Amino acid sequence: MEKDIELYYLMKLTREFEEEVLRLYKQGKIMGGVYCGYGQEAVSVGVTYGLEKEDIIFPLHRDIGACLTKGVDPKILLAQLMGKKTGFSKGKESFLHAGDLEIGFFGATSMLAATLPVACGAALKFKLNKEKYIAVAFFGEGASSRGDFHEALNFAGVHKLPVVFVCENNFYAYSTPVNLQMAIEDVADRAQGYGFKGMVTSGNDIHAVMKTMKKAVEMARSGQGPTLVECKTYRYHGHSEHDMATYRKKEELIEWESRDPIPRYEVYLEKKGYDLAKVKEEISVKIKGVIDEAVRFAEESPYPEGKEAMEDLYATPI
Amino acid sequence: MSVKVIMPQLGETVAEGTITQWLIREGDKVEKNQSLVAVSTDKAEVEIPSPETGILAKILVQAGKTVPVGTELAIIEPLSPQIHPTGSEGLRKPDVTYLERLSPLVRKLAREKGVDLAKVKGTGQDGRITKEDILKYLEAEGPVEIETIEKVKEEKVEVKEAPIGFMIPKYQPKEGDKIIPFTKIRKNIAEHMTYSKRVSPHVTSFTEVDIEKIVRLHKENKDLSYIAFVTAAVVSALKEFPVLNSSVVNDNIVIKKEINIGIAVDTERGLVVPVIAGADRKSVTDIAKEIQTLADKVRIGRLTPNEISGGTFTITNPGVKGNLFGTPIINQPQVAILRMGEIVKRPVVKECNGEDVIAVTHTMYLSLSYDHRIIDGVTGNNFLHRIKEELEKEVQVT
Amino acid sequence: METTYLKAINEALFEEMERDEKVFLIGEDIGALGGAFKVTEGLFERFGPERVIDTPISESLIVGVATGAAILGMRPVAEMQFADFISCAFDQIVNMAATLRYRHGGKVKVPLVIRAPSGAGIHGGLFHSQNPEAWFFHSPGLKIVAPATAYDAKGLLKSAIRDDDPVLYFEHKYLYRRIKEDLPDKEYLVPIGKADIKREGKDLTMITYGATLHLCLEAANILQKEKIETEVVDLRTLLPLDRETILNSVKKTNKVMVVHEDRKTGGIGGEIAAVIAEEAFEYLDGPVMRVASLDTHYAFSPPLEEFILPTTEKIVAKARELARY
Repeated sequence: MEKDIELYYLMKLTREFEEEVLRLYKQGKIMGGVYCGYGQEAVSVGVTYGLEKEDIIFPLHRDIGACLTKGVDPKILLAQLMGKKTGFSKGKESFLHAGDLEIGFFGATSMLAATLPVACGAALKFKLNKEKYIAVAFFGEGASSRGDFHEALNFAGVHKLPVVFVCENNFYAYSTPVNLQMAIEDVADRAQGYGFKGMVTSGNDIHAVMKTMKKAVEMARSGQGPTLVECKTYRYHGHSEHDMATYRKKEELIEWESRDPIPRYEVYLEKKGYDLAKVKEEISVKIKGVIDEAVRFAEESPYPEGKEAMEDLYATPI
Repeated sequence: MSVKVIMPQLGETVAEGTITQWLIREGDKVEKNQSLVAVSTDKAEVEIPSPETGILAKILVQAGKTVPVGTELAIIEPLSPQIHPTGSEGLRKPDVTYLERLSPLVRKLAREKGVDLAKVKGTGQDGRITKEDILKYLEAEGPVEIETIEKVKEEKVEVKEAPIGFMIPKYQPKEGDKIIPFTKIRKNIAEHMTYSKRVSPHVTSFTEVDIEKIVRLHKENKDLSYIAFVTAAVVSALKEFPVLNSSVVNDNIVIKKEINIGIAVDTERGLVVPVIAGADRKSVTDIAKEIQTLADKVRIGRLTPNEISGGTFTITNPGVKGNLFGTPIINQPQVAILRMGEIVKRPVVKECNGEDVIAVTHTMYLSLSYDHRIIDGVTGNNFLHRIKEELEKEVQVT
Repeated sequence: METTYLKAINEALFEEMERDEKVFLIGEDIGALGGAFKVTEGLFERFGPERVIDTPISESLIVGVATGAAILGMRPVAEMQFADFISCAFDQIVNMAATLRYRHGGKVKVPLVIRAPSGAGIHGGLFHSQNPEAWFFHSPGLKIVAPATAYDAKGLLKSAIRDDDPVLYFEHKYLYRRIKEDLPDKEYLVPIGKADIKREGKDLTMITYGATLHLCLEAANILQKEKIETEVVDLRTLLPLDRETILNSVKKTNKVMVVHEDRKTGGIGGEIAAVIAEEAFEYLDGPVMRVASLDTHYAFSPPLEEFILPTTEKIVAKARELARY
């Protein structure tokens, strides 16, 4: 697939996949917490697109798009969400709390920003072994308040680790607006305190995101150290699917909906000379096929047996 | 061990009695069965015989007083040689303290090795039995019981703590099961029988008796019961083999002077064994009469303590159905018991005019269980054979 | 070769770093300084800054970075300068390192070792004396070891480094220079998960680990004069517990006491007592007793510290009580 079309495909796949997840959630087939990245597709796809297989991404809960872009099989991803044996966790954890190191994606934890020191560890390994790979760690603006964030950035700065810190600033950490979260406006400014550059980019413009990422990735791979890339964006849904987000103003939502990354990208395709209707049609059919297959696979997959709860605790059993 | 004298029930509707006069002074000796005290009710004047030979140690109710049935009237300290349980130093009364402090390990060892914890000396804190104590006990003495029952009192069999032996998991009653709690008699019998089998190594010998002659005699005079004839025969045999009329006391064989034959009677309450005292002094007719009287008394529940105590040998006849022969259990502290089988016509080989012929004869199997501690096979067999001879000879009924 | 407990740890690190280039050290002041206690002395000079990494003051980061490197195949040995500071890395240990393998359905392994100098008796006060093992004891996915001798310190650390799971290695700082042993020249390992009977006896069992092992051995010598033969079981590994060795000893002596320097309430002695009561009830000829630090903080001033900590006298008194029961 051509790059232009592929980007569109990935963003649309992310959106449709998440819509399917919501449907299954409302049907009770997906349990627990469901966190929707609706509206943030440009960030998750744009940041991840073009990374090498051996690069490792450390996504957070809103980054299904990053996982799909990195090469995660939608079938396995859906099985994971449904708690089936065929998911990454074999049912032992929910949502994106497990990954697949072979495709270079590391699972999240609920302790936000705890993955950042681990990303530094991966980056350290690449550096010590003189490999050209990098770590890309995602976090929200809220997670940047946690100690682990600061310890990680500090260490990365001291040792010029090959890591890119990507902040998805959607202005709300659950119900907490940025002005209660931090005394500054741009999370990117924090990088300076740790000895490296912070760049702000328009999170709903996939091209802007990719341009900024290109610079950051280049810095990391060439041994010049970390960068903090802050993407301003917005989530249309609440923090999770049980959050009505009444703490936000309707006007604000309308403003950001008008910046939706997907219609915006469709304008680009048209201007670029693509037959948009045809592209939409083809992509739609393709995506439907992928998602139907994923749903079928996940629904037919078995649940783990109860006794499996005692397995996989130790690599060296006693 | 002191013996209590209690106000007896002198009549079915009598609820109390009055001491008319004490016939023995406090502190004086009294013989067993000697009249001890005169008691009156609104129905009768009775003299209560002393239950024991000894000293009238204490009079508890003075003359002139009226007391309810069952009240303790006096205490008699027996003088006859006491049969004490062995080694009173090694024994402990069931003591709450040490029983409460049994550790799981000690309980386990006691259970596995069949140890009566009442016999183990505790040297731990507050007299607790420790692991070392029970191990030492097992090394020295082993879990063997050496205790005798002194008397079989009416309704008051001396129930000893059954030693903790091998146990399998108790059956758990299920819905629909019928649970019948033990009566006192049942419990007594259960423990007595278990104890007897444990203490006396039982051997049973059998013999076949040609009872034809006795059958004829019985036909002529129905009052002469088969058991009366058997009793008389047993008495003769016991005179010749007195070791079967004894008790084992510590490491002694005590051959009894009296021959008191207990006759086991089955009642709906359980087995009762009234005793023909001095059976050696009685004729078959007397014995038959006495057996009848006692049987009647048993039926109406009117046996006195004397009538069921003091037996030296027991005969049992558990009926005429399914009773070919059996292996009876010795009535402790006796050392033998005879069981009568059903009388049945059988083909037997007889010699007639020098020829072997088959005749139809009434026969009965006799089973004799005896205590192999003191009676060996030859003695037992000979005794049993003697009974057979007595029953088979020409009897003169007196 | 007479080797101190501290030197034994140092030797283990040297040998494992020589043996496997994937082994590296990360912690505060471990490089140029050679460690606050000199445990890592000489390693920086020998292996360089890429294998002996001095970090900023960031316990959480230290464990996180070590975890990240470990999942990609390296074998880091992280250090908490004092075990007391391990609380700053609590989340990374119990929610990250201990859960990774489980969350990934067995497809990830975390061959991480966290060394932490623990223990009291050096007038360290509240923040230089703690025994934190109980906090991590009920975290599945972790292993916890606590050597008491120089021999075990070296052998256990080597095993921990070669083990593919996160291992908390609590080295008792009081023992660093106070015990010296002759160690074998030939390489040896001490297996994780196996307790060691340091002294055999038939009258009562002391189950212990760490510095209190030496107090128990002293107590056993005193008790021997009173004709009480003590069996002393050194756990060596706290998680998982060597139930087999523990229960066999209980079945042998029928009287048992647990001795540890950690506080009594919530200390792992309680778990050991529960296991014994549940699985060896019928072998007990006396209650399961414990001797441990009192339920208070590790105070600073010497008379306070002495009051709090287990001593040989306290152990002997308790043993006498148990023997006499």
